[in-house]
Amino acid sequence: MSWTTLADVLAAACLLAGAGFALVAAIGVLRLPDLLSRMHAATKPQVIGLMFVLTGVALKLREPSVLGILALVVVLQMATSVVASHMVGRAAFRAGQVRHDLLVVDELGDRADDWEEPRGAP
Amino acid sequence: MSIVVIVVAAMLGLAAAVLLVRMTVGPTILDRSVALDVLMAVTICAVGLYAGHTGSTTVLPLLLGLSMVGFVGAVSIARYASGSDDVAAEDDDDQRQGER
Repeated sequence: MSWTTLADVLAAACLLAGAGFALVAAIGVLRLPDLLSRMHAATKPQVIGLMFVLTGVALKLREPSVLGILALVVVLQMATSVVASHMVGRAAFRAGQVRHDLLVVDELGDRADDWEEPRGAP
Repeated sequence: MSIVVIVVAAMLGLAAAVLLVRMTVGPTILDRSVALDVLMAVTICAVGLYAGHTGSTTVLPLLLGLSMVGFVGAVSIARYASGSDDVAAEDDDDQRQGER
């Protein structure tokens, strides 16, 4: 087995794994009961599914410049998805759209009365 | 390899369809923005798959742009989503406030 064949097989495996993560996360976003658990499912394709797919693409293309762009895409996605998740979770908590009976630990629950304005941002 | 590409494209398409269902049924705008975020990640995966399949590197800046501006929608929606637009969820919230 030559080196390129091995890289192609690895690329196929990575692409399949990444698409599998995306599909499982989409089913989770559809089926899970409330917003926070849907956000838990939503982080899977945003980080690890994307990393798998882009690793597969890099193994398939096999060019150094492509590797740089794909690494930058992964870094940007990891930096921005946490910002979006933080804002959405905060807005959900402040707007009262979190199901408190599903939470195991609810550290913000006692302070809900201190908020003057049910808004999602500082 | 082409069979793998077809299978992966089918999985990504099914994921996008399922996410569209969640975007349609809601029930709140934050659920829709979460589904939109995941749809953006699926789109990035699909564009990457296209680049890997055709071997063309011209679409890779598109990946960069998508990953840079993909979170802006969710952040803006979360900033301005002040109340709930779901009447049933608001009723549940009132009940919990009474119990507390």
